[in-house]
Amino acid sequence: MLETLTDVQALSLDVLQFLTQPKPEVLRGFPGSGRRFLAMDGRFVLVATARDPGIYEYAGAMRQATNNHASVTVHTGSSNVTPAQYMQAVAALAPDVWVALSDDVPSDCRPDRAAKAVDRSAAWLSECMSVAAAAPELSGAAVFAAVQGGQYLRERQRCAETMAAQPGVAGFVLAGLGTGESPSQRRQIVEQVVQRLPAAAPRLLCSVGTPEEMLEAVAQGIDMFDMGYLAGVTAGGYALSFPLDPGAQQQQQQQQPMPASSGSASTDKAPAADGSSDADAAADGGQDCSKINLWAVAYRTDKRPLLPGCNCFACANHTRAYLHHLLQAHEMTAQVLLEVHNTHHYLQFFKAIRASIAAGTFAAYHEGFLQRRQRLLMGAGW
Amino acid sequence: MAGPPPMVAPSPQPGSSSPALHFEVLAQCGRARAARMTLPHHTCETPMFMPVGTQGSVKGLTSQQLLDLQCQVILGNTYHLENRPGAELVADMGGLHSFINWPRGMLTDSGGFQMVSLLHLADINEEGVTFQSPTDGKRMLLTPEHSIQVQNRLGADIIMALDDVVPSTAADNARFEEATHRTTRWIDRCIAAHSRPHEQNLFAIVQGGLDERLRDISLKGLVARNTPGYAIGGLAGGEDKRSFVRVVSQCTAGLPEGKPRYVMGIGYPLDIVICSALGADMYDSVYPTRTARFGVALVPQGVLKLKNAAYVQDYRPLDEECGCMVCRRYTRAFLHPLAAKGLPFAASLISYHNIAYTMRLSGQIRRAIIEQRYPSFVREYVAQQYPRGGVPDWVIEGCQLAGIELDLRAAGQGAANGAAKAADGTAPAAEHVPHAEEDTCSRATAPAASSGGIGKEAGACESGSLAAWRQEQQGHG
Ligand SMILES: [Zn+2]
Ligand SMILES: [Zn+2]
Repeated sequence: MLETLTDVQALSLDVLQFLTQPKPEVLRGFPGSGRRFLAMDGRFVLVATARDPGIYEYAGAMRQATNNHASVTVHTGSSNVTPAQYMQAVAALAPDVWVALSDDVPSDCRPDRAAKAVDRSAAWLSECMSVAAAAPELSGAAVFAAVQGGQYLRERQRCAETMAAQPGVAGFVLAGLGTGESPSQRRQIVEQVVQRLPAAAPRLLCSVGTPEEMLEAVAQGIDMFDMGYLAGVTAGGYALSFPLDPGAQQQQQQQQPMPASSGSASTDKAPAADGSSDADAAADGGQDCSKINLWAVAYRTDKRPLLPGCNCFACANHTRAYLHHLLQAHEMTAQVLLEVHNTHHYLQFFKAIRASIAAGTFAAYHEGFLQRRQRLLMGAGW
Repeated sequence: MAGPPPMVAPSPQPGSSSPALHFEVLAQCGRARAARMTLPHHTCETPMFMPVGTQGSVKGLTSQQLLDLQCQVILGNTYHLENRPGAELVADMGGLHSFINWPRGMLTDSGGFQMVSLLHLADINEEGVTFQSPTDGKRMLLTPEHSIQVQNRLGADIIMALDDVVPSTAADNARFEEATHRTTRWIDRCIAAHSRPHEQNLFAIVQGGLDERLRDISLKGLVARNTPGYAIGGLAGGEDKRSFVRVVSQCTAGLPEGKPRYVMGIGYPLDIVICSALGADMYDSVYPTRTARFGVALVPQGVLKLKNAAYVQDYRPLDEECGCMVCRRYTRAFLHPLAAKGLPFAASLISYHNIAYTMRLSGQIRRAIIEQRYPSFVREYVAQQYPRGGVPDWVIEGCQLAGIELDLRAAGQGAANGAAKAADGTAPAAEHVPHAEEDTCSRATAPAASSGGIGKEAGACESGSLAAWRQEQQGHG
């Protein structure tokens, strides 16, 4: 399925999945690289991270960490990992980019715990880097340092400054977000951290997902995101349906009269997305109008693709009605098809973001989303 | 069933034409035959294996992947599809082909088997099968007319008659006798109810349990009805395999030479090889995909149980001869942890390979028949599965019935139950469990599996965690 997603640039891998099953030796023993073992095509940038957004357990990570080891969530539950063990797995994967092991704490941890996380993460970064210096597999790989500190600006600032001062760090991860902080807290944290990072170094933000959240982060200077949000959307049976350029769409609609089939109720309500209907809005009820819920009975006989106009594999081959049926029947193909569509849609979204930045129109692009949100809020009478 | 006159080619080979099916034997080798069967949606090469997409999806695979795997016909289960999403909805969506986006052949069963095997409260009388609705608990009646009406709505290329199913292991002779005659009476009702004979082919199903006399009665009665094709039913339900091959042999011999013969519920590779030797053309089973969900891969030597620690650092592909997408990209060592963790991704990949294996086997069978070397193909296949002897009696008997002499010089012949071949972990072959053992194993675990409310289709060994995963996958169904 991956090969149908032609716009994939990078793949993120959870190092923690390669600590025990399979063990690093298994990847190492494979004739060729760890990446060939995993059948990861050479055209992708492979990013090894310390947290799989798909199985991350809230606050699970901080349970039993000590100065010597992190406590991490793996398939079988929680497990301890030292920087040396972690780096063994990283070396076996031979990625292009690897994220140093950090003491991952949630936003709402206590301030002393956040401070300890900053100290440990800094110590572990040095430890990981000295292991990497001796590993020939990682000679060409770039290291990203994780900035921790919970919701405490002082700790976040201190961590950013410490990490930025470490020579040899190629990029930075804004870690531990999406764990209970408010949107304004997150905005502040991102702003404060980004200010303290070298201007030329890439910045990766974890666990942030909605289109609006991502646009805001991009506006704040974030370059890379993980796709944890998509895993949750897909597992919930949703297909992303937000327009890729709501500003342009709005202009078009103002020039063209609304088609009669839009129905009477929609006169005071903007359509949710390209080609979507009242039924979509109804099925989306209470949601943020950026996705449709394929579990909804409204799609039982809907012959349209997940998102009209989308040219992903799922949309090119299957209807909403079929996806609704597959979900109802608990067929795993439902998840496969939704994941293909959702990943494709986000890749197109990022293509549009890059294009607008290149054209110098990002602010207007971003504004199009904000206005759409405004219209939806008014239309829904919230 | 007066079809247009067959397009007569100067060919000595048997064949037949029905309004929606053209069947042409291309080559015969002993009792085995290779044929071409033209259905409204696809021209198929037989012998062929048909994967099962119970609820409109072959578990873990997309319809595009099934095309990539050269699948020719896939099955849908009428009982499940009528329950959800409902045949009327499927018809509104343009039929099953369009609903699931599958351009090639499809076959639906009558729904009767599922009712009898899944529901405790099924009760059969002359009118039909009475059962308790799993959704609202109401008593409902499935008649031959209703089954055909539902299948007409689904729109598959081949539809199956409602038959009076008795498990082949049931002991009551009177019940078998009744069921045999009733199945023949019901075929007339099915034919009368069939509203789309120019687009869909109704196959009759031979019944009669393991009784030669009853099978003969069933064969004569159904052959006289001249349906476009025939199925051999009432097997694959846990009967002893010697009886199984005898019944298949009797039925293929008694069915018209120029019409397709379908042995229902067959998916173990060795069963396909032996049934093809006896002149059968079509098979279906959930086995390749279900066993994949337990982490079991099919290989020429038998099966690989990928959860086994023996594969932790085994960098070979599942099957060195396969060349499917999974075998080209992934190793046993890669699949082992995924299977051990019970991830759906493992189930998808192993399902893909297992279907590829079964399709490749069908192709090898066809080629061997066309090239007039099927007996040696069978000998090699059996030798590969039983490298140290211990070929089961039923295989020997099946080959004898097919006129194929097996090479049984290997030591240990006669014990025939394969139990002596406990895995000793030394030779690579010890990792492989021949299908016969897998078979035994599945029987041993069958009561446990069925107590979980899962169907009684061909099973496989499973551990607690994957069984739970399977229940989750299949749950609510
Ligand atoms: Zn799509
Ligand atoms: Zn393969």
